[in-house]
Amino acid sequence: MKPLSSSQKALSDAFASAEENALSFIIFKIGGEIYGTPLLTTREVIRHREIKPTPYMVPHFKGVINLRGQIVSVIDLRIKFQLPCDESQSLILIVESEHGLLGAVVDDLVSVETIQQTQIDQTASIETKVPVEFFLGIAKLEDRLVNMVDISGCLSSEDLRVLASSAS
Amino acid sequence: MFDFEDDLKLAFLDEAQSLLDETEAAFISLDEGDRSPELIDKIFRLAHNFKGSAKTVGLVHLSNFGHLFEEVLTQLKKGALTPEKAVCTVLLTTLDNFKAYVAGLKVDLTYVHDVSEISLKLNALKDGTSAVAAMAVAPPEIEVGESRAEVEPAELAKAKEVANFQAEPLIETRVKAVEEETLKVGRKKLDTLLNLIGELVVNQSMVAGFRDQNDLQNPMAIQTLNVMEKIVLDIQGISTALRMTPISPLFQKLKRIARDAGQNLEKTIQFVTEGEHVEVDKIVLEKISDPLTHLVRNAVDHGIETDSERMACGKSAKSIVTLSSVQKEDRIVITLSDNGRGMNPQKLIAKAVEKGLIPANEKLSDEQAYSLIFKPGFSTKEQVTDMSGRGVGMDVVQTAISALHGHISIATKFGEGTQFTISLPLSMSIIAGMLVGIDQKKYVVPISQLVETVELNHFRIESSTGRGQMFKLREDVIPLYSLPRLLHPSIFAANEFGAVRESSHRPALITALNGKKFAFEIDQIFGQQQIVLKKLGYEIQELPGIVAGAILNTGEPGFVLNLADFLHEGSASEAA
Repeated sequence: MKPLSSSQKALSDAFASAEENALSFIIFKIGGEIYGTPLLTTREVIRHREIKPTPYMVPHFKGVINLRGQIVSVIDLRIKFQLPCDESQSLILIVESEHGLLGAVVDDLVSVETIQQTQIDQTASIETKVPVEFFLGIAKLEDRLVNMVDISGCLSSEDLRVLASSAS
Repeated sequence: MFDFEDDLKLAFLDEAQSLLDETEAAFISLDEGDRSPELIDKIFRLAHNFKGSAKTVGLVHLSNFGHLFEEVLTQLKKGALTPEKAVCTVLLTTLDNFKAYVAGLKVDLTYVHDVSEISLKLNALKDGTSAVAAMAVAPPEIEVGESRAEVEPAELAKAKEVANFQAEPLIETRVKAVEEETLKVGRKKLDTLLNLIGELVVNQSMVAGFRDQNDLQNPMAIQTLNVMEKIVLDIQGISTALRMTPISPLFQKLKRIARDAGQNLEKTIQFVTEGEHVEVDKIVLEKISDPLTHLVRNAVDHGIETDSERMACGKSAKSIVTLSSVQKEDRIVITLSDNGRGMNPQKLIAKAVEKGLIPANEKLSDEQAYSLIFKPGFSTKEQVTDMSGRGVGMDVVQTAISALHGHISIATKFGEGTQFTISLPLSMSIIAGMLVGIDQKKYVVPISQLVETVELNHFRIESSTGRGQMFKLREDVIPLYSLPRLLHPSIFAANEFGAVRESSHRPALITALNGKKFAFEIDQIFGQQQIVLKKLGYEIQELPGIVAGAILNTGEPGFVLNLADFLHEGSASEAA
């Protein structure tokens, strides 16, 4: 069995301290596919607004926005997961990470689901576009399978290294 | 959770801090030769209050130590003890012990400071033993300094996240000598408030934009908006003043440092301070402390000759070091001048060549030669003294100052003295910025970094292989960099020589670093603006050339550049 990533461990811990081993997840759509992320770390969802491009950064780092006086970095998961982009009516999901707030562009919200730990397969070895460091697991819902991701992990240290070398 | 008694103690410790600061100032006057009965009375009163309050809140050990101190001061008051140099040193060292004690108590209310050694000295003074004998039992002063550093680590104070902001009402006609009532406010609360006010200002100006485009119909709404605009402006003014605090405590600390350093090196120094009332942002005050300490130590150690050297060249033995501050619009200008030996430009150049910092045949003006001291790895004194040669060079001072959006310059005359001039923004939260367009994006360059702006079409741009582009502006040959290329290299990688240029204008910003000028080409100049600085997310905090974020007055986010970051060694050839 593969060892759990740090994001997966954090999720297990959250499940352990939750009532009846169940947590709420926010389910959203990007590029026609369904993804989910823990509601615990989701701060808010805002309408898409102009994103200021940032020099030097990797393509999926979209730029920064002004969130009530705070400058928040925004990433585009669709670029990261190589999914088709539709700019017309997207939303920005604001999540909390250990380093502060981070925004992620998503196409639409689907629902909020309460999911048992037993419904999530953390070791699934399904071929997935989601890079391993922010893959939390596959949730088996009644009618579908949902990729669970850790959004704040989507900007890996590897990405930041790429950035550092391109800048210098 | 604190019980009532602990609350009392904590309140006392805050009071104690200011009592000690006041006492230190009085001792320094005493040390400088002021023997007036008023001064001695004042010292006595302060010490008495300190002892009494300590006893009231139940800090018995501290109070006993205070009692011993008071007894020595009684001898002083009676005239049985003369405040000669050695006596003043013991008294100041005692104060250091008090400060360490108070700092220790702030962390742990049961803290007991070891005062045995200093008590021996005080007892000697009290019993009328000569001051020299008192010094004989004295441990070296440095040890005291070090033990003090142990108990007051800056992190501890920071961890509490409570800054002592002096929330003064903004009344211009401040009654002098009457202490104003102050409140302590947590730094986080204050930052949140300032953040929200910043947002309020931005939103207000957006609504005002609707009014200006006749998008508001109701005349009452327009009238109300006009009133609101004024109120918001006032609130913004007050909010920036909330973080302001006088520079006097720092000046006092530096005075003490100069005094101790002068005494260690046996140099007679008169340290003069001017303009202590100027107020700066608390953060600026904190961050400028180390660089200024370094400069003051340097002035006393390297700048000032020994008394005998001074007499030999016909100067008075007593040297004068002046530290002054003045407010100039939204900046504070701090000058530190001495009438010491000054700098010899030829010696500086020779040293720089020897250290391999500049090529041997490089021709430098005197001003450029003086700026050499800011180069990393430069130090003119052969012997590293324990005073200022701690591996921290002037380059560190300069880096610290430019991190505060400030700059430092030097004026010196060989044989006559040296003057450092530091100019800093009063506030770290709002700066005057030049809004420029680079590759169709808006960026902010702090006005403090700019010397002038030019239109490149009026100049002949020369390209030279390996050295990039340059042009001649009056008498200077100025290297030219392209900010669009530096910030967006990928766009230009494929199209190295034919940059896309829609406008016929070619504006450029001129900046100066170490006496040399550099030009940065941009696409457009929008004009000046007051810019509210913002922290950037962790992902983009280390981007080269970008020092902060900003919310522009249209509400959109922007980036604040530091032009000096683009001027690192070797980048000259890649740039243009």
